[in-house]
Amino acid sequence: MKEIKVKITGMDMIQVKVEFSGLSRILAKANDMQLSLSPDQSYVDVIRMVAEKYPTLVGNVIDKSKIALFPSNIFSRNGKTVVMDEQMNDSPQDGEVLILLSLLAGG
Amino acid sequence: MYGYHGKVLHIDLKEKKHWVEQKPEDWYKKYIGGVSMATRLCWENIKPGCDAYSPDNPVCIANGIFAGTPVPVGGKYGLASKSPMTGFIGDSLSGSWFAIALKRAGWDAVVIHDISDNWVNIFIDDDRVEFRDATSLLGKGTYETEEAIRELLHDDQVRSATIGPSGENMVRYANVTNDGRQAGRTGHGAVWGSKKLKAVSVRGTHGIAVADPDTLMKLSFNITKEAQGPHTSKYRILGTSTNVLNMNKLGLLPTRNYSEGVFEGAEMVSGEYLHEHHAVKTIACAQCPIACEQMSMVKSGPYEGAMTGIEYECLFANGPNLGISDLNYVIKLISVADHSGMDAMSMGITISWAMETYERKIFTSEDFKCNSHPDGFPLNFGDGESAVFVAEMIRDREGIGALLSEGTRIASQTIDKERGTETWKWAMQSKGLEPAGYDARGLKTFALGSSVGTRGPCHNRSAAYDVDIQGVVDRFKVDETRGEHAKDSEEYAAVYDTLPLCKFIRRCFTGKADRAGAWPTIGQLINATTGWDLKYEDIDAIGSRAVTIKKAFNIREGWKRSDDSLPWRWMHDPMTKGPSAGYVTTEEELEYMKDLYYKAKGWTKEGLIPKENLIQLGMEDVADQIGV
Repeated sequence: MKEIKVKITGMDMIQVKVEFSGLSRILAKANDMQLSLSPDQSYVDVIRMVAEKYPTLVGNVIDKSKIALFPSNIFSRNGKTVVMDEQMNDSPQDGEVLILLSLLAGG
Repeated sequence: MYGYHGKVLHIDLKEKKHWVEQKPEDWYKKYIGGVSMATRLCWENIKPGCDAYSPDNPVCIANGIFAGTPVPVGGKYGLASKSPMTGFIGDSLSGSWFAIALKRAGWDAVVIHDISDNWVNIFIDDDRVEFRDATSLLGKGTYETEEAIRELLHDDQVRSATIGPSGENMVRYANVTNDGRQAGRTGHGAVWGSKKLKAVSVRGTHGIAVADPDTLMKLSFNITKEAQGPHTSKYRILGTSTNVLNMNKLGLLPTRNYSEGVFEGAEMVSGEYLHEHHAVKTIACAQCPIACEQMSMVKSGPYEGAMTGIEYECLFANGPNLGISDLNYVIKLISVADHSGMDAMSMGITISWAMETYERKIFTSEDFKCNSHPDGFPLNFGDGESAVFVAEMIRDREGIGALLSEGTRIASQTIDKERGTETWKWAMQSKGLEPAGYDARGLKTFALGSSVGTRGPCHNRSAAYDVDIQGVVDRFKVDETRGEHAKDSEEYAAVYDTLPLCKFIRRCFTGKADRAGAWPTIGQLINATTGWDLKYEDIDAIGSRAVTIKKAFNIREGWKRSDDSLPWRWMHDPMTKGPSAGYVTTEEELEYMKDLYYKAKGWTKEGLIPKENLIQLGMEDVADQIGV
């Protein structure tokens, strides 16, 4: 039987931009991060990749498990909707901008 | 009684006398402290229907239950009077040493009546009350006044709540300052100014007895430890000014008098930029392990040396909302407000109204004539230098500053009457108070929370934006859940404002900020302090009762359903840029949500409170007066 090899090319990957705001920006010392994900990867993978590149976020913005955000931190999708806990295993859309917000009140 | 002294100090400014009122323990159990107790004292001592500047509108100060104890962030007090801004209850909180000194002096609350014939500095020296002539303090700024009083009394431990020149001049949104913190909103400084009350100073030397010191120490130690960890690092490292970019990215950052929610210069006035270029020190209130206030300074240029604490609300109001993208101007503007003792939010929003009125050619340069500019000057968005001139004119009530010192509601009504215009349509106020820095066109639940707020639209009294921003609800739509959400948010906040505890501690009990995460520990703290046996539902009742007494006060002052409104712009004028573009909260949507809110509260469709609701909360005397 002939083996069929599927090569994942750049065309098959989806592009996601994570924008840092507030605490995450200060700790990461970066404004944003571009990610290439395969279509079956999820928001959990996004968190894992961010944690890997910016370990200073772990314990402050990202949970020590590296698969969840620390309480009161959220991913805002394009500034319009929020990635809820039950959606963390879903896959982002190509071109999605995920704003990592540390929510706080007052002033 | 543990945790309290059982005494309220009454002071008569006219007669220069004082007396002591003893309150039963049951009264303390109901009203606890902070805004709830201060409002209850207003209920008992204000002549209904009086003018906010009349002798019949007393200053009511109510301490926190935890002031002076080891409980972290509990060093706070509440201040209430009838607000000259709204004509309804004006309640504010402030933190730090003043509250602790008052507790150590042996007083749970202070009620200051009538009007003095001369400018006075009340000095509460434990049990003794002295009326000190304040003539030498006139014209001094808020911080300067505190220092001057310490020097006059030869005691650097005396703590003072003061007004600055803005309060002396009765700028309607003047505030009261102590230890660098402000009871900032609803115009307390103007009420103090109307009474010729320059400052209240306290020296307290007594101890504070608590019921179970060991348990209180253990609980406090654990909370303090958590409060120095990751739950509060965002406050500690950047402070609340981090919200500039957060709100900008969500299209909710009030820009150019709330005409847009996205500001092209946001990066340059962001908390991150402030942190890197202007922050010089992080300050904590007394009894606080978090330390959120970013003291920031202008380091060069014409305002070099201007310094003050920068918070998000002041920053948005005097930065993006004025179209200003240079922090040197923003810091200067906020320092003018803080040093002269006025609410930087209301000041900034009133200036933004004036800027829009100028750009619409209703105001001209001639309207801004003053001693330093006899021909006047233009006032365009983005013009920081002119904004600083206007802020100083407001402080001094010079020229058009006198009109602007009245806030957006009165200023717009006056101009519209004089010139036949409709500037009220961009006067950003509801009930006479300027709103917070979260544009409610893209936050439907917060729109409801803002409209029904007893002191006007306020981010501290209703954190209803939480469910919008966190995605619990669709923030762009209205649905049947919003009444419950707004009620829950308001009553949750009211618990913290009544104890009072700073809300930044809310995740430090168990990691979860909700009732289930916080109430058990808060109950333990109260019980260890007082020896009471409050249960979970009793903590809920603290919040419910606090909101109810404030609403009852407003009803007695003539509140009606139509007073629960929103600025016209939020209901009719959609933004054109960013994620929140195209949305408004229509009048129909607002009325629908108000129905839901009143129903959730158990109130009538007209928003009045049934007698049985009040009786259930142990407020029989209130039921007799305003219950239906």
